Amino acid sequence: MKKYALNDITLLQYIMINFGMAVSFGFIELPAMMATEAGTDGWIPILIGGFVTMFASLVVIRLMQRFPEGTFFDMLAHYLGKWAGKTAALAFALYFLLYAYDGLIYTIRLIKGRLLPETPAFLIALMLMLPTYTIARNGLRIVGRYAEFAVMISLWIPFVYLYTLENLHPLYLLPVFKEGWKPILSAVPGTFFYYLGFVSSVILYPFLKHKKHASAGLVIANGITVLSYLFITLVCYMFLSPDEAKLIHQPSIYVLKSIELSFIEQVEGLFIAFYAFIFSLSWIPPLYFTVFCTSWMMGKQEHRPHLRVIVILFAVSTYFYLPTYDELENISQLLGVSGIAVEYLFPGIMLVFLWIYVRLRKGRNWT
Amino acid sequence: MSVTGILRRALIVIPFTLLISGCYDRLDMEEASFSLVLGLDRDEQGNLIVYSSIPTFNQHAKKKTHEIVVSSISPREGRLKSDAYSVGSFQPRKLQVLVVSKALLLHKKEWDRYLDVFFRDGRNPVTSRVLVYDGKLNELFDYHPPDKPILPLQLLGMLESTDSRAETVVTTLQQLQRELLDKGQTPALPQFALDQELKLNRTALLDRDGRYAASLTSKEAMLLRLLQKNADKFRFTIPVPKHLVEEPGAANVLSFSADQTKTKIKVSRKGDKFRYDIYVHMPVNLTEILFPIDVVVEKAELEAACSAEIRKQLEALISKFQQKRLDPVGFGVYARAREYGYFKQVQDRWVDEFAKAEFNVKVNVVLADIGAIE
Amino acid sequence: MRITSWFGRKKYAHTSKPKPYVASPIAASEPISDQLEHNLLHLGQLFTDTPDLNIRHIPLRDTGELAALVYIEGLTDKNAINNNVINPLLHRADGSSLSSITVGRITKLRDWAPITSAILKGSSILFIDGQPDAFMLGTEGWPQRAIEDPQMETSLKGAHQGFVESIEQNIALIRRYLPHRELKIRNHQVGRRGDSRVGVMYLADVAHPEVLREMEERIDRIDIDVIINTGELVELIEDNPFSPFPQFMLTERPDTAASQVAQGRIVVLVDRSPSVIVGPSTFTSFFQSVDDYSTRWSIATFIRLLRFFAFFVAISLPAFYIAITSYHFELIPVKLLLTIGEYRGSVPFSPFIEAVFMEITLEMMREAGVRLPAPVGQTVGIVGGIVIGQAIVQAGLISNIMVIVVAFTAIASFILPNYDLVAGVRLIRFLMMIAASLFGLFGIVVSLMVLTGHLIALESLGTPFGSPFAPLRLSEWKDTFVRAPLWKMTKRPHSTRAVQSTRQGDNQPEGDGK
Repeated sequence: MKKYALNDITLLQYIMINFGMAVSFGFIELPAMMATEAGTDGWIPILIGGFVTMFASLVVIRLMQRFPEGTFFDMLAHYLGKWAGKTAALAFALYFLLYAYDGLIYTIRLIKGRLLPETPAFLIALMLMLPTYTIARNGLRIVGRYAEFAVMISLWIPFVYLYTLENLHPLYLLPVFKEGWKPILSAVPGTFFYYLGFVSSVILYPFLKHKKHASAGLVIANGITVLSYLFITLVCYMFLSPDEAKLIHQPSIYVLKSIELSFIEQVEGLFIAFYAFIFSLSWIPPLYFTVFCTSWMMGKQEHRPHLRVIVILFAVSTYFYLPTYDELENISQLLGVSGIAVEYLFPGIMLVFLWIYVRLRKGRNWT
Repeated sequence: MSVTGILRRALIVIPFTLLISGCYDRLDMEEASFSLVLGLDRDEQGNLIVYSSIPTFNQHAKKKTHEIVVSSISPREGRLKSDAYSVGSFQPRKLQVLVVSKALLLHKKEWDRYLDVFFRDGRNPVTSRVLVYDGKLNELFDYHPPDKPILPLQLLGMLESTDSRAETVVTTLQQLQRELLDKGQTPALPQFALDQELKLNRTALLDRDGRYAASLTSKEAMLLRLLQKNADKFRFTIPVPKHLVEEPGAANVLSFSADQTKTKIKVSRKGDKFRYDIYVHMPVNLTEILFPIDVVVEKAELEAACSAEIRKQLEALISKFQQKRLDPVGFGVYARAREYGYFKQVQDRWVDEFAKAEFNVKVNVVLADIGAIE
Repeated sequence: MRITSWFGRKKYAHTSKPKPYVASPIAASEPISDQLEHNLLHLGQLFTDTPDLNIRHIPLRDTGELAALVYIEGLTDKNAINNNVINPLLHRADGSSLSSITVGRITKLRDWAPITSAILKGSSILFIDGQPDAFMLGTEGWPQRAIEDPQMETSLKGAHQGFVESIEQNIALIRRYLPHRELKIRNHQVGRRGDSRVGVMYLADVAHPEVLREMEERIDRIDIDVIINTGELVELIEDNPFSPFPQFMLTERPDTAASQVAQGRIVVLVDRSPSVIVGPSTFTSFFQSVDDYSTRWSIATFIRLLRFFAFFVAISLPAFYIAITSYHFELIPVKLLLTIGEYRGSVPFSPFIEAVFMEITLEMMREAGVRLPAPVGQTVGIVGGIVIGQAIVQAGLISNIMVIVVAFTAIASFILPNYDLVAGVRLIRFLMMIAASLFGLFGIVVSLMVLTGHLIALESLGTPFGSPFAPLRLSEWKDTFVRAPLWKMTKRPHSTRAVQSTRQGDNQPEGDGK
C-alpha cells in the first residue's frame, strides 16, 4: 500500500519546503505592506496571522491523518469516487500554478528592477527555468533536498542585517499600539497571503517519513516563518522613520543599502542575487506540485513531460507578456483570495464534511 | 522522433541559443563614466547647475578626473531647461559625495526633489555623503591641488577625520531622507568651505522644509553629537571659573578627552508643554591644564566647574535650537515614543512645540584620569 | 542522442540478466585428448604465430611416459619453472612425478578453454601422455614495478606504499591493514579479450548488501573487449557519466582504500591498474585526504575549511571578477575601484575576453607541465611565470588584477586533493565565466543553483552524493567541513549505508577535559 515510499522526504525537508514557500518574497514585501496598514505596530498582525496560520495548518494535518497512506486526491477518490479526486487535483494544480507564476514574476520584476534593468524579461525567465527544470524533474526527494540546501546556504542573511545595527532607532517602535487595536486587527488578513503554502501538505503528507511529527513540523516551519518576518519588520521599523516606512518599497533591501564594508559596498546587489535561492522556493516546489497534480489526474507516474510543457510555457509567456507592477499586484491579490479559500477554509470544510459523510455512511451500513 | 524527444531537445537548445544573445546590461567599468562627486548649485537666475567629477582611467592622463558642468544660459531657457537637466542624467551608480551649495539650500524651493533619482533607481547608492558647500561650486570643482588626491577622496578623507573627532555630523543620503521625512526631527549636514584649502568646520542645520537655517561651530557640533548619542568620544577645551586659577594672568583653560559618555533623555508633559530631562554622564581624562592647580586636592571643584561649563554650553545650544525652530537632535522622536497622543496632534508644527519645551540639563563630569603628571 | 540528457542519469534496472560468458571462437569448450601428440597438434593450431609459446618435452622418470610443459615465456617465472617443475620431474625419482613438483598451486584441467586462458595468463600447463587431464601449475611471474610512493596522492605522514599493477599485490597491501576474517573479495571477469580480473572487496558484516549487489551487477553487465585502466571501468559503472563530477573516488593509496573499506564502503580492484575504485562516495569525500587523520584535528579542520573555500574560489573567482567589473562595479569600495580602474583603463579587452584568455593559457600550461618530462617541465614554469605573467602585463594586454585572479584561482585548484574533482572544477569555471559575462551576478547565482540542483540529484551507487549536506545530516558534519577529534566519530557515515554503524567505543583520552 505504501505507494509513495520510494520518494520519501525527511522532516527537515518537509519543514524547509513549507518555510521556503511561505517566506520567499514575504521577507521583501511584508514590512512595507504592514507599515501602510498598521504603522510601526505592523509586527503585531504578523504574530497574530502566524498563530492563525498555525491553527489552519494543524487542520490540514488533521485532514490528512484520515488517510495517511495517500495524497488528498487519493483520499477523495477513496471516499467520493475517482472524479472527485480529479476535480480536486485540477483545482490544486491551478492553484499551485498561480502560486508559482506569482513567485516567478515577482522575482523577475525584482531582478529586472534592481540588477538587470535592460535585459529582456524572458531571458531572465529562461535562466531561472534552467535550475527549475534540473531540480523539479528529479522528483520530490530532490526538491526536498534543494529546499533544505537553499535555506541552509541562506543562513547568512540575518547576520548581514547585524551590520545595520548602528543605524537602528528602537525609539521608533514606541509606543506599541499607537492607534489601538483596530488597525492591527484589520491588517491581520493581509498577512495570510505571506503565509500561504502550507496546504502543500495535502501532497507531501504521504511522502513524509515520520508522519507522527507532521504537525510539529508544520508548527516549526510556521514558527520560523513568523520569526523571520518579525525579525525583518522590526529591523525595518527601527531603521526607517515611521512616515518613511510607508514610502519605501522593499525596505528589506533599502535597509541593506546602508551597509559599507571595507571590501564591499552596496551589499544589496549581492543580497538580491543570492536571495534568488530563497525566491526559487516560491516556484520550484509549487511547480512540482502542479505537475504532480496533473500527472495524478492523468493517472501517470511520470511527471517530466508535464514539467517540460509548463517550464517552456513559463519562459515563452514572459516573452509575450510580463505583468506590470500593478498587474502583478492583481495576480497577488487573486492568489491571496484563492489562497485563503484553498488553504485556510477548504481543509476545515473538508474535514467537517468527511466526518459527517463517514458518519452517515456508517450509519446507513449499520442499519 | 517522438514529441517528447523534440521537447527534450528544445529544452536544451533553445535556452543556449537565446542566452548567447545576452549582455544587455553589460557596462565595463572603465567605459562607464560614473560621477564620484555631484555638485548642485544655482546661478543668479535661480537655475540649477549640476557639477560632476568623473574619474578617468588612463595611466597617461595627468589629471585623474574630469569635470562636467551643465547649466542653462538664459533665464527663459533656464526655466524650461532646469527641469530637463535633472541630476539623473549623470550616472550616479558609484556616487560618493553629493555637494549642495549653501545658496541652493537657501533659495531653491524644494531642492530635495532632486534627490528622488537616488531612491527611485534601485541601483543607485544611498550611502553617498551629503555636504554643504559655502561658496560657488565652480571654485570647488576647479580645485586640483597637485599634492592632494582627487576631489572625492579629499572630501571623504576630510569628512572621516572630522567625524572621528565628532566635530561634525555625517549624513548619508539615506539619513538625510529619514531626517527630512521624520516629523520629529530636522536635518543637519556638514558644511565646508574653500579658503586656500578645504576646511570643514561648520555644521549646517536645515529647517523642516529642508532650507538652510543656521550653522554650528565644531564645538557645538560636538555637543549635538553628544545629544544625538551617536558618538561617545569627545575632546573638549573649556574655560574654568577664574577663582580656580590662583596665578593671575594665567589662561583659565583646560582640555580633556571623554570616552564612554552616556546621555539620557527623558520626556514628560505638563499640559501643552513638553519637559525634557537630560542627564549626561562623562568620565574624562585630563589632557592639558594651562594653569597651576593641585588636581588631587581640588578634584571636586574641578569636576563641578567642568560640569557647569558643559551644562552651560548645552543649554545655550538647546536654546539656540529653540530660537531658530530647529530640532536636529530629534527630541520629537522622544516625544512621539512617550507622549504619542499629544504628539500626534502637534506633529505638523512640532518645531513650534519644541520651542516652547522646557529643558533641564544635568551634567556629571567625573575625572577618571588626571594624566601622567601632577 | 544522449546529448539531450546531459544532466540525466541512466537508471540501472535491478532486473538484469547476468552476462553470458563468450569464449574466444577457436578455443571451443571441448575436452583434451589423452594422446600427447594430438594435444600438441591442437595447441599448435590454437597458438599460431605465437613465438613466445614454449613447449618443453620431458620424459617422466617414474613411468617413462612422455610429458610436455607448455608456457609463455615472459609471463612465467623462469626460476620456478626450472627449479620447481623441470628439475624435479627430470631428476627426482621418489614417488610419483606429480608429487615431486614443488609449486604452490596445481589444478587439474580437462577443457581447452580454461587451458588456453591459463597459458595466456602465465600459468604453465603440463600435458602427460595417456592422461585425459592436464595440470595447470601456478608459475606466474611477469615484469613488475617495485612498490613506490603514490604519484598522484602524495602524503606527508601517510604510508609510502602505493598500489602496483598486480591485483594480488594490491589485495595484499589492503589486507595488511585489515587482517580480518570478514574482509571478503569477490572475483569478476571483465572484458572478452582482456579478461581482467576485477576484485570487489568489502567487509562482509559492515557493507550494505544492496549496495554490494548494485556494484556487482553493474560490473557484470559490462560487455567490452578490454579494460586497460580503472578509469575506463569507472565510466562504465558510474551513475551519471554526463556529470562533470566524479562519482567514484579513485585512489592509489592502500591506506586510503583500507580506511574506506573499514567505513563500510566497497573497493573495486582492477588487475593491471594501480588505482582502485571506492564507492559509494560522496561529494565531501573528495575533500578528505589521508593526512587529515594523522595531523592534529584542529589543524586538519582548518585545512578542510581551506579546501572548501578553495573549491568555491576555483569555481567562481574569475566569474566574480567578470561580473563585478562589467556589471556591478558599484559593489567595489571606491579606493579599490580607482585602483582597478587604473589598471583596466589601459587594457583593450573586456574582462570576459581577458579572463578566458588567461584561463586558457593557464590550462595549457598545466597540461604542458603534466605531459612533459620533469627536466623540460621546468621550462614551462619559466615561460608561464616570466614570459606570460610579466610580459603580458607590461605590454598592457591583460591587467594586473586579472593575473592575480588567475594565479589565485590556480592555487586554489591545486589545494584540492583529488585530481578528478579538480578536472570537473576547471570545466565548471568556464561555464560560470560565460554565465557571468552574460548576466553578471545573477548569472553566477543561477549557475550555482543549477550546480546545486545537479549535485543534490547525483547519486553514487544509489546513495545520495550530496550527503551529508543534502539530505542534511548535521551529526555527520564531523568529517566534512571540520575534522572532529577521532574519538567523536563513533559512527560510520550514513552515506556508506553501513549495516554496522558503530565504529568505535569511547576512546577519548582520560584527562582534565573529560
